[in-house]
Amino acid sequence: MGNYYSDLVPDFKAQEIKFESIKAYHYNKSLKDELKAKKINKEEVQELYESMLVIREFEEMILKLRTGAYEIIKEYEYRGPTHLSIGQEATATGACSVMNITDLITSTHRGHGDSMAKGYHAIRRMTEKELKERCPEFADKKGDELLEAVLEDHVYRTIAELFGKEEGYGKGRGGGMHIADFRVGHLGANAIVGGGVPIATGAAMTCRLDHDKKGRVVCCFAGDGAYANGVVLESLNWASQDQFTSSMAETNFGLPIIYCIVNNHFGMTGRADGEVTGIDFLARRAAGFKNNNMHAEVVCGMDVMAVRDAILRAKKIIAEGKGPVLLELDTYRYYGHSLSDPRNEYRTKEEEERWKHIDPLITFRQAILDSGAFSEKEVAAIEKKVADRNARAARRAVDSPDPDPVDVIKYMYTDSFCNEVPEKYKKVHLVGKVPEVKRDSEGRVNYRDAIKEGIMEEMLRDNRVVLYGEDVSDYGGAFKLSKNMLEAFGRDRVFNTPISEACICGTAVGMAMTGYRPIAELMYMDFALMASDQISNQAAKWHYMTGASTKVPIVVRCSVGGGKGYGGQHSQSLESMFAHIPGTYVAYPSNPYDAKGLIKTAIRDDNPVVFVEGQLLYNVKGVVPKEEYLIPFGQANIIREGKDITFVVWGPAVADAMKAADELEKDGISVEIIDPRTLVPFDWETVFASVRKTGRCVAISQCVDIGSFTGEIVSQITAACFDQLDAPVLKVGAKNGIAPQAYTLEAAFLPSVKDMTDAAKKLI
Amino acid sequence: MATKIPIPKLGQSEETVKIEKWRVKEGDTIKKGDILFEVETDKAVLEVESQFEGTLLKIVVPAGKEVPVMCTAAVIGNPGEALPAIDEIKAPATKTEASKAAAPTAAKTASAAPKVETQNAPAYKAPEPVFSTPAAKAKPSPRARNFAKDYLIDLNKITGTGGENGRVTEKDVRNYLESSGYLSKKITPAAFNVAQKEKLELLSIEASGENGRITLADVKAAAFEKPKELSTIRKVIAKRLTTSKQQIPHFYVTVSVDMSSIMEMRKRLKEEGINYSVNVFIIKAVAMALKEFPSLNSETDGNTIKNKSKINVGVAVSLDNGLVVPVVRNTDKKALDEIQDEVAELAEKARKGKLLPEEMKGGSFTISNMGMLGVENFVAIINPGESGILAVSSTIPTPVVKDGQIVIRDMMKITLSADHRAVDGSEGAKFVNSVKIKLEDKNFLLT
Repeated sequence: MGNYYSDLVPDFKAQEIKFESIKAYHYNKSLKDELKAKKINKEEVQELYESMLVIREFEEMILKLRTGAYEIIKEYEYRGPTHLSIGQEATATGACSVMNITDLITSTHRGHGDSMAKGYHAIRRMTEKELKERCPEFADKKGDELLEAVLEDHVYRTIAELFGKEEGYGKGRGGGMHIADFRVGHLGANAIVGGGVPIATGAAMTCRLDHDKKGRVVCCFAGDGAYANGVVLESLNWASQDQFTSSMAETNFGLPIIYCIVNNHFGMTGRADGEVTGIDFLARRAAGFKNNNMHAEVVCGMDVMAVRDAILRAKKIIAEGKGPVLLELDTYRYYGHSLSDPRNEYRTKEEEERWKHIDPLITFRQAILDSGAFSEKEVAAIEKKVADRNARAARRAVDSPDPDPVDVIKYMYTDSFCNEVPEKYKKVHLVGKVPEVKRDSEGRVNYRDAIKEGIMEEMLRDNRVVLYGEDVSDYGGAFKLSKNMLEAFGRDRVFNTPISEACICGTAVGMAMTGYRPIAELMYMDFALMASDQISNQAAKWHYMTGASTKVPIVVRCSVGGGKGYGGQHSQSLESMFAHIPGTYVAYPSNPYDAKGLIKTAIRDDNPVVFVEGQLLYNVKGVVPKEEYLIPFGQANIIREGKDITFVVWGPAVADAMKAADELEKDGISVEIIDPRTLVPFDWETVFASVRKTGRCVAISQCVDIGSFTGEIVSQITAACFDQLDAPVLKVGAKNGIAPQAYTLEAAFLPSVKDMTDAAKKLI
Repeated sequence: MATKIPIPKLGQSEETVKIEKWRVKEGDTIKKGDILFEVETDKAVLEVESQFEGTLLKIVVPAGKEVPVMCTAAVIGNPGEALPAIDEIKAPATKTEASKAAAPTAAKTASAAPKVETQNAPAYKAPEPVFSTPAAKAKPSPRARNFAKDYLIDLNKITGTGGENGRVTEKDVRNYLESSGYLSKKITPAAFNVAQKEKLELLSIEASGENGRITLADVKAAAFEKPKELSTIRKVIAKRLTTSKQQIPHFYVTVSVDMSSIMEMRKRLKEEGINYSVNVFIIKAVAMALKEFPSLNSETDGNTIKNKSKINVGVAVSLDNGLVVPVVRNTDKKALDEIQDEVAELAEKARKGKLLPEEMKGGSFTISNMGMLGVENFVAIINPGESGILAVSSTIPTPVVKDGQIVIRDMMKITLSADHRAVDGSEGAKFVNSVKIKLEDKNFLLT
């Protein structure tokens, strides 16, 4: 391992670039042969069939519910999505049947099957002790009775979640499209097409780095539609990076992930074949990312044995450190995108019939009978058992309690905080000297180094804290904030990423869900918009959508370039946007002392934090204690006391507000300045107390004025302090426009000291 | 099924009404014809009878609240029955307020006529913070109002210095308290409490206590003297009579009428068990005289004159809280006994507040009789919409010269007030004399 110096020699010799071939549909064994060869045993055969039956029974329940044909809960009116995976059972079962309990999956909006299969097979692998830990209520049961009870509980919790019940896997907060069970490694179905793929990739990052999780495999299910999505292609590139396996790697191990393209041939109604892609097999995608085609194969997704075989071989490749692997599982969705989809508008009945002819359950049932493993009677008994079990679970789910409306926003944030680092992560491996942070004779440190010191302290405290982003390693970051950190902490913990903002944030979510505490750096806050799905739909929502069964302790550091003449795409203060998204915390320090204290809190907090830094502040100096200290979130700082008017202001605008206060002082107007430091959570009480004292307030930030969080402050003050106001509450922000490049224009664009004094004088 | 009971539209002009008093309460059993509530219109207080039977489930409009006519006053139905949806009662918009509110807006629009930006016109322009226009005095700030709650002051008397429009701020209130001498005033706690309840200004209360202390008695006196709002009916009287006095050029003609023979006749009739009031004769005489002098049965606005084909004599009835004028329709065509019965019934209704608006409409001439009140003479103000009113004074035994002899006769003075725009002096004089002649000739009246 060492620093990476580019040393290319130009060589324009004529040559041919060769692509390896990709195998398709090579599996051709019969079940009888596989049994004979002891590649599978009778018990496993039963497990495969039963697993597929559980899925189909579940999906058909939804189908029948819509027509009132599901007798046992005929009266129940189901409301919610109906993205059925009937026809695709072999993909979920084939893959999950050969995964360990601790192996991980991510899934899709059509993910009932994946969820059912992952839980089903994991439970089948559990020891009696593990089963009892999972379901303590069955402590008095044992053997088959215990296993059967836990399996039924699994079906029950799945249906309960579909029905939005308190006892569902996500306590009814997520529903079927966001179902997850972290205890069996199911990191969540994802209702954003492709949204789960970077999360799976991040989970694989944890498995690659965390010694404790070595040997785990992530299986990422996503449909053909997702494989046209930017973040999915970013993920494939991410997973294939040479730095994981080349000489520069610290941990030399290919990313342990299997990308399973569940190709059911329709992205809603858009056809992968001949319409919205330009290739015959989606497996070809892999050729663009890795010279070895990511070991890609096309597998018959209607044949559970073929899928099982492919996954087993993929796992072997991964175990050798040669991941990632990409598999295209060729399958079919019998019903439309949802039950409201009139599918005859885009495909023929004949096409459907041809696929149903090779139905995974019917063909496997026949294979079982042909192999002689089970008799017709035995197979029928299995089928009845599954139908009865699902019916009982459905009845119980309908009768189970609904969530209490008072808990409507419960689980939005977690209260938990990393107060204590688990013993195994306390030992931090250093590859070199930790860089020293410069202090001047008065103990002053600049804002940039204050953040760096905070991060390094946390990285020394907790081995799970990693820092990554564009250019952060050898180069030390675009603003040199992480200079020399690679040399101290090594490339496992400080590494460069492709220019893939969505994937940077998405992998962070996956790493955080699996126990790591990543700090993702986005060079400019403007780029956070490229990652806004991963920040706003993923990081922010998973704690809530899973009924608090996971946490996403990530820090997205992003810096604001405003004031440097960088124009519209490098100058925005977007903290208000993220403050509007429930589920994220938003911090924006205005000085070095706060910067260090807040970044440390951000890293230890178990909620996702958007941590905003002002590039113009990087060189601002202030006294920063060498000793450890934390600044709690939601605690405003009264920077200056005054009696006539309150300024609520954060970020770089604080310095201007101080100047404005000096000006106003000359006119005998005494200004109190409050820096909230975090917009979410927000310290309303300190602000209210100040306004109650002064009777006047101006809320100030560098955000574009329209829709800025300052408006929320005005609204809350008006509601809470109306009878103490001597004047309307005003706000000052950037002009309602786009950050210009020209110096004169940008000076007019950003809020000035005069804007602030003018606003104050209007109120006095 | 539950039924919504509307507040009826009792006249043509009412847009809003106020329930004065509820005569039933929620839970009461209601029969058809039971009186539900009293409504005050701009004419009178009326009782509203129920058209429905059942239990009063809910009172929607409380007493004292001004609401639009025909809105639901209450819901009647079976006990425990679910209430039907009731539209929210909108506060009636008074025209003057609406026009006031609209005016500054229009002014602002005009003054802020946008300079046309041909280039780069912003697609999304944030509104500038709206302050009241400089001309308009800003309202006191919420903080100032909150602070002032503990003091007996009138915020409108304070000059504000806040913001751009002189908003009264807490600081202004503090300054006022100091500069006005408020702080040096002394008041007993009991007096303070009452004064606060009565919303009195401390500075306007005269102190009589020791060392200039304001006492409870001072506050009570101040509260007594504090201007109070007129009742609706008094406001109507005020408005109508002011209009009359300002717009109608009144002139007055008085004559003395010898009522001796009528008094004699009344006495005789009374012995026969027939009771006629003096007024009945006067009404009849006036109605007949009006036939002869149509200009007194007309209405003018100064440009046109409207003659009225019907003679409808209004009779002023004094009530505790004001005055109403029920109308005897086609008075000239009615016999004395008919008039007697009708007037008695109308007066009774009026005193009980049961007069219907229709019964007070359409009058063409009014008689105001203060004969019962021992007055020698008075003049009345014309009811707008009419051209004359006859003021009738008490009948007093008076020495008069008759046939060269001083004799005692029952004399009554009547004074006509007439609208000079429609009637001339001589006409007025002839009219009162015509009335006089009729009253003095008992045979004439009885024919």
